[in-house]
Amino acid sequence: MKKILLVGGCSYSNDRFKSIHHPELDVSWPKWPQLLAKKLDMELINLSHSGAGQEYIYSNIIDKLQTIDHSKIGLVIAAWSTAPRRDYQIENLYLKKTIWENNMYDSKGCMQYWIDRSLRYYYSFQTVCEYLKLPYKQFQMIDLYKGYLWQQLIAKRTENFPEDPVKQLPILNKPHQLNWNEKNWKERKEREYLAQIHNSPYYEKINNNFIGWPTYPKLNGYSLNNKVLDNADYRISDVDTHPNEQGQKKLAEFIYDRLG
Amino acid sequence: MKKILLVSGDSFSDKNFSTMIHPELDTSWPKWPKLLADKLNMECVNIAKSGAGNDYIYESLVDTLQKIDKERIGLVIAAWSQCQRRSYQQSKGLYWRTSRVDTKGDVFYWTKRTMRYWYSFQVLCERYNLQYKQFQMISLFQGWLNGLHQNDHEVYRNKLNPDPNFIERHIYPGNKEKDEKILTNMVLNYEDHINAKNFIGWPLYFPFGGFHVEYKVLRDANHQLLDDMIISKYDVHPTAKGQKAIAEFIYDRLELI
Repeated sequence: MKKILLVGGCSYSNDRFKSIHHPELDVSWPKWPQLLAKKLDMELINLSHSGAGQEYIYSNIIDKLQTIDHSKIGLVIAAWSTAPRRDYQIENLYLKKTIWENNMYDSKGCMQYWIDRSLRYYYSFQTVCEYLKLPYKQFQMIDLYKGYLWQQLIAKRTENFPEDPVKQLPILNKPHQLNWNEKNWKERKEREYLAQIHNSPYYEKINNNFIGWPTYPKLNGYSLNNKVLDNADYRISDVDTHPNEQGQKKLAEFIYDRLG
Repeated sequence: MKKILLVSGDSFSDKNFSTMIHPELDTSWPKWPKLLADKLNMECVNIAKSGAGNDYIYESLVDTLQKIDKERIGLVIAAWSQCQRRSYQQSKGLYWRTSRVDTKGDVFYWTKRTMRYWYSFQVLCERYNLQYKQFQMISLFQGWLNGLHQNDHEVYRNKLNPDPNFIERHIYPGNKEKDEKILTNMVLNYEDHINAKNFIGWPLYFPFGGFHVEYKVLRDANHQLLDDMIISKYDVHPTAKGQKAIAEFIYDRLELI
């Protein structure tokens, strides 16, 4: 019987991903968890969900682990999302079941807290897998805080900035588009957030099973989004930067090569 | 060198607890974590905070455990709070704040979230071979289902200027009996993942031999709060005597376990 590859992640890992910006586009190409499972000859359980944050990823993985015979698990992967997201569950009266909801930005807390909270999730995930003696890997799939900084910059430039993230147009996403003040502000914030990671008690506690730790080049790490999808050919478009078919293949190969 | 007793919890365990309803009252009596540490001949590290939710209790314990040599830990205790609270850190100083009621999700999610904290805390301690205990200090979801009391500020204000129309409790918007059954089953069904020998009061409900500590220690056989155990009918936090009783109760269960 095949072993199980269990994956939790966000839209980059979601096998039912739909492009919000290009709803007409057929995006049914295989996603990296499916490609990786095939390479590893494992059965895939993919819990990834578009819009998911760290609480969703951690909670769904540990909930699922509590329902599977651990001897059947071949590999567990947490493909972490951006830090500010808020996940919660509510009862859907129409579907008559409990469903997960996600907000792009938590209305409580601040970036330093959201970073700390993410690091606690990494550590808790690592602890659970080691305790259960399960093979595991984790990595930062998308950047922890850069999306938030760009969103803040766009909001400053946009009159009547819409609250709905779907309606927020990415009018800025390249460093050369920033003026001097914006560039300074962004760099100062990035320094603060890097220091938050570097000075965290978890900085030294996260082990080699974290691919790309500590997730930023300035700290000698990386996120897969920046490291692997390093040119436009791997992305759907300028406005929807999710990986296209080629990008998904690149992600699967990159992860496969780092499994050891 | 003495071993460390590390405790996190809410106002029932907060070493700096002060009552907003009776601001004139000196509440500097020793709290149960200190009393228990003395009985165990341990050094007390008490990080419990008034108003804390279970996010704070878990996250503060995990953070603090990173900063202490694990060889020095004698015992770790999580004294869990009500499920509907939500704790988070704010501003550059990363001060902890708690919303009395999480604006997102519902009581089923809040309960499940707490159950994940129980499990994550247990795994963390077992992974590092730390002696630990956990328990619900106050009820997990009954406080919410029975209608949450007004907060201490509102009770204090009403004590000074009584309003005949003052509503002591909010009204639970759902079907209390039905939802209580579902929530009880959620907890009971989680038993496979809980090390009951380290969870004092498991599985929380009297009909199944469980309890939360406040209910067991500060009340009589008819479940009525004992006057000398609580500050007043307005503020049901434990008095000096109540704190001693909690410390003794937990101490006795350490030996039994």
